[in-house]
Amino acid sequence: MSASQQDSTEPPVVETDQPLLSVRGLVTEFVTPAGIIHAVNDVSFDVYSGETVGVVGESGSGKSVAVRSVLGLLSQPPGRIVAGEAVFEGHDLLRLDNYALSVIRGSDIAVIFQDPGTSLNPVLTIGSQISEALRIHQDISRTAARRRSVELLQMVGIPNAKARLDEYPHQYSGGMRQRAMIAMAMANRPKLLIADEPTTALDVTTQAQVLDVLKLAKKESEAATILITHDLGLIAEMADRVVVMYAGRVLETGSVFDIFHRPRHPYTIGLLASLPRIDTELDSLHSIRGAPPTTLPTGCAFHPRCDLGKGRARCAEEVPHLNDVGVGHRSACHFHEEIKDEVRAGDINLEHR
Amino acid sequence: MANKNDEDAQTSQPSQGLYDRSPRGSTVLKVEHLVKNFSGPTRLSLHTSPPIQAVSDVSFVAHAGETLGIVGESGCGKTTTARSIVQLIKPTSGRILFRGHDLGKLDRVAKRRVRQEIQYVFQDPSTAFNPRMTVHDVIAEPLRIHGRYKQGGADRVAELLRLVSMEPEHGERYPHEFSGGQRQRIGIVRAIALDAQLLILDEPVSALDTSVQAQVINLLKDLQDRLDLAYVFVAHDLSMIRHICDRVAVMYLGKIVEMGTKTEIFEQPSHPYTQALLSAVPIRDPSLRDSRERILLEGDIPSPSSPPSGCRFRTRCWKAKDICAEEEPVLLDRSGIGHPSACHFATPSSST
Repeated sequence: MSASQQDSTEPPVVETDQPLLSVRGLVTEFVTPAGIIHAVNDVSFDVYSGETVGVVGESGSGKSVAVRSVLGLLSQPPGRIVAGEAVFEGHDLLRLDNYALSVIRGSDIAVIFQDPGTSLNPVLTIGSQISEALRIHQDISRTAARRRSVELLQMVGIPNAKARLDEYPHQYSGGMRQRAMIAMAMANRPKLLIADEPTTALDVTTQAQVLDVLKLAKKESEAATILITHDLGLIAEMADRVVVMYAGRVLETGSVFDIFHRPRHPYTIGLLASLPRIDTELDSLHSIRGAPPTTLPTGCAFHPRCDLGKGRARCAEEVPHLNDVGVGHRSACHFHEEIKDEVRAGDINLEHR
Repeated sequence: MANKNDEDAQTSQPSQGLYDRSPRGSTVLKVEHLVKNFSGPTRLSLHTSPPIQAVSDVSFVAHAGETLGIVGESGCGKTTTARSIVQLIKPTSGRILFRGHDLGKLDRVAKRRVRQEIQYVFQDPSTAFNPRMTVHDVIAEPLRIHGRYKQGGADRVAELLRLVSMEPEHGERYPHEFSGGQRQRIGIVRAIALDAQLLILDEPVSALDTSVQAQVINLLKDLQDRLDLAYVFVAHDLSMIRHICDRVAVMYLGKIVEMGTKTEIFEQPSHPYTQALLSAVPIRDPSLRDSRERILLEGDIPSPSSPPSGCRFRTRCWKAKDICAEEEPVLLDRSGIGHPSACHFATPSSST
């Protein structure tokens, strides 16, 4: 990627060939004693080879549930996939049986979870867990698997990898555990890497170390990546394209430059303006009123908190579809045309409360 | 704002009566050489592990109408420092002076009085309230405890609820009926129900959804402007620190490594740890991502039960020389940049 990226000369988003993963119309619900929770509502997105797609949203926005549904990692019940398809290399993942899915998971698609403290097995050594990942999917000997495990640990920057292979997860620090998870995920050279809040449990300097490893791993393997996070800073740092989720819906999607420099949805604009920045001083933060909904509102999910809709009936009645607002840039707002070009993050033109 | 170096004149004698409000800029809190060691776990009494040095010789002041940020990564001692100020943790040594009064030496009556003026806001508002009390009772509790509810207490609660855009009727509801952001705002107005002059805010927004954090931050700023409150704001989120704080203390492994105004810390950090910390924060602008130089630290934070000799950061520092292992750098302004830094080789850099 070139170092001198200007707004006007952004790298074109390659959308010519077939997507590696294409999710269409995904609907996931949870059946609870208190009623049905609509966690994911008609979510569609594509992931192309080699790119990093950032899925950003607050807690409860459905970002993790959407991706877990696709991977067959949703516990059913209480979860229930109602509709949709997720085509990965010609197979609809939502219709594969467990065996077929398990062949793909861990080899072609690998996952890094948020808390390595709970996703590593505490009673097995790091080495045996990486070897296991290798030997399940590849026909190789124990010694070969061990050799490859050392290489993988070296790749993710674990010092003295050969000796540390025989240590247990509790002997690793949080940052090292997450690196071991990355090593494990990369073991079978996946085509798609899914990182679900990979650095949320880590301190900022450790996060920087892990992100560096993640970037390196991605470069080595040329894997496409889905990065799920609530942290817009991480998205700005890592993603090529962004999917903004709210209350189980996709509200906006576009290149990382579209989302940060030309946002076209009041939620994205409000969110960007509500956060302080490390590199500049802001006089005041824009405050989005209310809180994320617990039950899905009618019409646009964001309308009760929206400053642009201002109570217009259409927002409460009609669910907005994703409209094209630029090349590869879509916004699910009825009134996206009223959002002017000069609206920038931190320079919001929407009426302050 | 008072100059950070000339607070001595104001705090050396307890000149102010406890019932007066501190004028803006005056020193409200002075922490002197605070040390807190936690004794390590004992194994079958045969072997005692060395104590964990959570806070080692930390000193700072906080002024009325001003926010002091304490920032650092997990295990740096920022929360222990905050809790020591309100005496939730008894310091091993050192003094905490609140408006000139040594909190460790107050008698019962004076302690009761002081507790109305120093308040603590916890990170997670859902665990900070009694779930069986209505919001009205939650806010009224401090008034009742201090025998001040009978005279106009209900009006005071209504007034406080209005501050956070709630009607008195909302007081009849229970905490779980409110969202996280609302609960945290209730926690903050409870903290000012009495005559708070100093609020200790321990990660007050990190448990909240991104889109509601600004509501809480804006409320805090508003209250400070109106009431000249002094804040000690403990957080790991450097962007938030930059937004809300006037002065910042950066902690690493139980020590303050650098202290200054927020402009000094964010524009001219001189301690290598501060520089690394700032460079590690992702900037929310994709066009800057390839132009920034990122300092990646080696390894992990050492154990606080056996910190490195000399400078505690030296094991991960790219500038470390022999002197760093031998001599502990004191917090002072070596490079003439106007703010102190605990590094033998402190040089300012423009970080962000």
